[in-house]
Amino acid sequence: MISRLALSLSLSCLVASAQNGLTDIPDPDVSKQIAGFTLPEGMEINLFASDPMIAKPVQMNWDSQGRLWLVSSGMYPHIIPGAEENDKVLVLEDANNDGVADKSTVFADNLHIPTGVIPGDGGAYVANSTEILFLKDTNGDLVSDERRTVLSGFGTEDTHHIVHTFEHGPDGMLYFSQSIYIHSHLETPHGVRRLMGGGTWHFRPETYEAEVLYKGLINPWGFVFDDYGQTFATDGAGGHGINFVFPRSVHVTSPGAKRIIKGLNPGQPKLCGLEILSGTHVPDKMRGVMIAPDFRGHRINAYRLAPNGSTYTSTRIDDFISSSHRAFRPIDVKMGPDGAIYIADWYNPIIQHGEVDFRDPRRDHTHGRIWRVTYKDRPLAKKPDFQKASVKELLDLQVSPERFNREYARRELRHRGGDAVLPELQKWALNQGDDLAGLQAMWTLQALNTTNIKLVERLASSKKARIRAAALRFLYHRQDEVPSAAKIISRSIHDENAQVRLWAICCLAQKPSAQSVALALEALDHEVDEPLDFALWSIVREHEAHWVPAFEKGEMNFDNKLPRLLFAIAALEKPIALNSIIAGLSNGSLKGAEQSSAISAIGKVGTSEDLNQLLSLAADKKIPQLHTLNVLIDSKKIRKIQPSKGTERLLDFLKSRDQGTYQKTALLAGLWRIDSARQQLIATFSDPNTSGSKRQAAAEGLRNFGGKAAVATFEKFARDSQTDDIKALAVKELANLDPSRAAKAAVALLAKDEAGQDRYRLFDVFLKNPKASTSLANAIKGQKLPAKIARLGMQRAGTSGKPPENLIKALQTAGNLKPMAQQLSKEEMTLLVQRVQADGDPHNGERVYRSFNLQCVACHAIGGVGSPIGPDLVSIGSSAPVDYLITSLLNPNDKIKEGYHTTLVTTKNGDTFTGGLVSEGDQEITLRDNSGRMTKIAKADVKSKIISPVSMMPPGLTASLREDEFIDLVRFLSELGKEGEFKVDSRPVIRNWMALQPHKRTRDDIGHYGPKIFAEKFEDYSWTPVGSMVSGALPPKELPPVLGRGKTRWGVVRFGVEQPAKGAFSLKINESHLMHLFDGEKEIKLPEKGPATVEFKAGTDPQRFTIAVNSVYRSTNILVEVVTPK
Amino acid sequence: MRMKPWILSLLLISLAKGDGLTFQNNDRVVLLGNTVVERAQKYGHLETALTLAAGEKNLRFRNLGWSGDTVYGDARSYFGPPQEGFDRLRTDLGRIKPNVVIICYGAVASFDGDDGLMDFIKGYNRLLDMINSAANPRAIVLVSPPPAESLGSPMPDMSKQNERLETYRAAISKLASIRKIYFADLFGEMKGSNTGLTNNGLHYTEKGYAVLSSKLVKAMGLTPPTAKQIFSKSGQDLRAKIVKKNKLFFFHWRPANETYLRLFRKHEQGNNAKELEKFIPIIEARESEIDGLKTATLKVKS
Repeated sequence: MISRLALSLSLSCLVASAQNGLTDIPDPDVSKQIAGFTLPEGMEINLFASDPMIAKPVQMNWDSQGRLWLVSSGMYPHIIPGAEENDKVLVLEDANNDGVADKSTVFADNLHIPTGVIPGDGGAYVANSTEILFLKDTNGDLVSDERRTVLSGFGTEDTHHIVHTFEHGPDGMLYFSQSIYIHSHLETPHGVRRLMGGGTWHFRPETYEAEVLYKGLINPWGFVFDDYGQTFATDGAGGHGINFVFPRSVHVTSPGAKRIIKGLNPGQPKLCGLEILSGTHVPDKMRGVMIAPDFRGHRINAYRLAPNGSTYTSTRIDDFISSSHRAFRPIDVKMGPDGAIYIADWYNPIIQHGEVDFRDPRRDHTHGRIWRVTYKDRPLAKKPDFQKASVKELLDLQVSPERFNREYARRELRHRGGDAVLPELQKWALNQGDDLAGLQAMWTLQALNTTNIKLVERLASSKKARIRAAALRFLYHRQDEVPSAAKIISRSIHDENAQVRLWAICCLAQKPSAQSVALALEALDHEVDEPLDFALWSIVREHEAHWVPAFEKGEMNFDNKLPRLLFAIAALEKPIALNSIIAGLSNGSLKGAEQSSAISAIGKVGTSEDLNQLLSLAADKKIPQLHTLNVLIDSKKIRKIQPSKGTERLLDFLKSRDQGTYQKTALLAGLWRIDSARQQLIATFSDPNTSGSKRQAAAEGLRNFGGKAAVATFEKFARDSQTDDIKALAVKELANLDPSRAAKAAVALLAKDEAGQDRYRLFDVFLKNPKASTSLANAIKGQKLPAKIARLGMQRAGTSGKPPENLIKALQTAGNLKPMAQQLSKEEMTLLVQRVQADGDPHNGERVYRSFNLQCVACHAIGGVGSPIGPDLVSIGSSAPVDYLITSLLNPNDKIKEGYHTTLVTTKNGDTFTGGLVSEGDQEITLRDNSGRMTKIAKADVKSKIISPVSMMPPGLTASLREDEFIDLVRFLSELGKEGEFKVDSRPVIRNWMALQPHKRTRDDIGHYGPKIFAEKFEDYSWTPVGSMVSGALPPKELPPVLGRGKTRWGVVRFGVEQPAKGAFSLKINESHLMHLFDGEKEIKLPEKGPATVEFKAGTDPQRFTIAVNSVYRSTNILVEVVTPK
Repeated sequence: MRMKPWILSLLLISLAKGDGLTFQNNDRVVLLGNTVVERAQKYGHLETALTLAAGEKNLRFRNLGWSGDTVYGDARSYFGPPQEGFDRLRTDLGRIKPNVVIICYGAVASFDGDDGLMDFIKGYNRLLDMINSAANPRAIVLVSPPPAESLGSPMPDMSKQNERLETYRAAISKLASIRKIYFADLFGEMKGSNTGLTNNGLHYTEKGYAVLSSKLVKAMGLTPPTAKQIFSKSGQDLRAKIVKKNKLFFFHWRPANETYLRLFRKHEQGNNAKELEKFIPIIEARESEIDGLKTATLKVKS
């Protein structure tokens, strides 16, 4: 127990060296850092620049003279009162081309935590707190002597969120991003533009147009255009790897978002920076690979993308580079003019200031490094002198194999201006037969704020889909300048390529009109993937004011195509033309996904008459009953609306044998208060032979009736029932309805709860509102409760939005417990940190982490393996100091990761709901609580909604651990993400499994048929998810033991393999001893022992393979690697 | 809505309140508005001009301008709705307790033209009521937003916007006369000035602020300082000192990292909020230096 642990530590005699634990900082010697790198074969690394020449680089960008510009902030995270603003823009030069900077010039030195810099337009754009500045040197000494505010009104609510990630688009615009806590309000001559939360802007300096490209992402610290002008972003606090972003796309944590698009690699490390490997110096097989620094894990991850519909699949491949040095913090990565790859190293044992104190002495303010990566035996690229090149030479560079040259030649051309460049450029543009060259020409013209109509038209009809998509992206910005734009766009809605169709919708979204919506929805004639569906959903909602009146006046009718109308109604969630939808349901013309979408739409917006029809259709079995029941439940709960008549038709459904149908019917019977159902429900509830789930359903139905009768029913059974289950359920339901009457009986039940029933969930019912928790607290006073139950109660109470102090105190006394949250003294903390470093065993720590009692895996994932409720811990060890980990375990409310704050909703009747905000619509708020359960709350019922300072992580979770176990656990966490065994790598091993639970098949059956029986489809089998350890291995001992004959215990898991649609792959098994493998129901012969590799044809059934091991005699872990042919 | 007829008949008088604005010693003056007000603190011209126009009386300025702001406090809220920003302003005013409030809103709202006018005036009345209840200042000055500049292609032509600004100017003037508070017609004073005073048609350059400041002081019925005073050594030092003081106040009043210092993550880093108070004595020291430099500048003969 922690209380014991803290005590024993404070009594220990190690105090003498107490401070070392907190001041243990890595050695800044450069050779130490170099020794720490792990490089792939053929790669070399050298130091390009280091402290004291530079310090604390935040972002870097090249200029067209091959100089590297960077912003440097020693002030971060917060100005000290009385201190001067002294952050800098530095310019580094490597004049003798030896790969080492030989000169550093301070371009500007009075900045305030500058977070972005990019040279351009004859000066440099710099992000400076609330503003973007343009700094210019007018006399050639490379020192800024002119300062202009370009944009102001950026929020500064968090200094690692402020405007950052400056990039030039090929279109000549400046792109920059902001993070989750920032609220920006920019005044432009085109009107005010606001962005709440994360997102990326684009800005055209010559017109002062500033617009939002996409919204969301927590920390969009990486942004890049690919060779075709598509845009991608990484997230420094998200965990979806590479994100495909496009106009109006909305991503994770955008405030008020009803719907978001996920990234391409869920469960990946958090990334800062993004670059595409390109040019001749990079090995052929690496060209096109996206690299992004995992600054927590001291490494740079790599991803390979392939087009897939309108979006991409992204596969993580081996790390680009990694380091064991704890202060190596790669935060930006850029291809350089010599074809090498440059890495900005923030160099800091501490990464940020959200969780670690602003003034923590371990925070580094003076170091910083730029590393340069090259490949042995591969020639460097030639550095052109863009500044001295003629226009013709610059145009030739537009088709250079070096992407760097193409980009910087374009910037130089833009800088020289239209008068000097356009005559030659226009001629050149039309002479480019190759579409890729044409694309460069189109962009360079765009960068000069010019449009060549013929060229755009030609590219829009290119044979190559990605060129057509790029041409449409151009039209997204400048369709007014191309007379044929409307024709191109309407044609492209039916393009054979999904990404072209996506861009056509993006173009239409720029033109609010009924026609735009009608045209966009024609895309439904083709396959619709997630981005397409999102873009359509978005345009329907955005242009509502245009198409709805036109539709109602009969000026448009979606060509009388029901699926289009249905899509529009479902997206908008407004009651429009529901009659035709109902007709489509009753005549059977809507099927499958359209049918269920139609039912949902009517449920969301229909009148009570419409619901009436829905009920009839379900009763006549013309539409699926279960889905309809769910929809009717939501209509009642969220919109307080029910069928206008004939609700008794529901009684028929109570006869259903389908468990789900019965359950929903019972619920609904209560919600609709169908009196004739009440007696049936009571009978089912009180019949001792009723199954548990059915009884639960009947109880919930009865509760939904509410009122005195329901209270009386439950009170009676709570008092009189001789059946334990009935009594317990009655108490729980009574507590829901009238907590003060249930409190005493609840305490009696809890006091008896020794056998591991989950009666502690009774606490949740009493935690719903302060009156209820007070009545429970009063009932507990003077009583004794088992310590385990009291502790669980305190944990439940501790995570409710407003922890009820009176109840917590009562539980503490009743269970004779110490307080849950622990504050360690400085000395205790120091000793504990030392113990973790000296004695902690991370392997045993992983076992503790995975143990059921601790519930870590119920909320957290490591590298995407586990649950998404809490933050992914993949690199927690390499980003958080040990004392931070300890504090987080002992007192979760002390530190809450951004993006994981709890939302507390209080309804008008005083009930409170807490959880992570999943979505917020016009009608309802959806929360996910710490057991993963989703709750929808009707907006109409909501009194207040606030961000709660209470963590969803229960306090005192580790209270039951022994001291050594706690130390091992912390050690394990502190190793996560560091170079070594506890860093999740990119090997494609199976990490997500479904484990077979003990079941009703007899031991004799199993003994008779052998493990083949587990590969059969058998409906009583129940499978629960289980994840691999960090190494990818799965310990047989952790699998639920399925009893076989005699002493045999089986551990059984199923898994599938994500595969490209075609081709073959192999499974590489570490050890086949005492293992059986099944492909479907067919056993695959494995050798008696030793490793095995088996080849299979592709298939995507997620339950395809079954492995059964004898878990008594096999102690070797299970490790399965998927090998795909190159 | 129809507003035009009364606008035509309205006579724009620069001071809706009959008597001229006079400062008193140690007046706390709040400057309130959107970008034009916010950026004035960076250059200091406006405060310098007002400081000198007040003569021997010492003034204390607090610039509460905020880019993109409106009479509803749209830009001031962080994680909540605009009302939160409005409440924040109320708290700020309650703490500062200004004697004089100089307000310039309308530049953002005017992009909505006639459609937005009624809402704007409704919001302006609400704002003025709030200011009275929070701080009960002796004087309030409503300033019409300055005209926009058309800087030539590819920058947008702002003539339509200027027509809208005229409409808003008239409405603000009427509001001031109804409420019997001061009106300073910056729009009128700036109209017809040379162009090239702004970067982007809306927002003033350092030089532009020099022109704007003197015109605004005039529009308030005060006498702007002479060029000789402004360009004197002490005049330049005065402005530099004002800019420095403004920065310190900005770090105190609108600090970075508010999420941690005061908002929903203050349980983590709120202990660092005590640092914000350390700016106060530094600001006060700068202000007494400003008083001295002002006295010196006033002695410069015009």
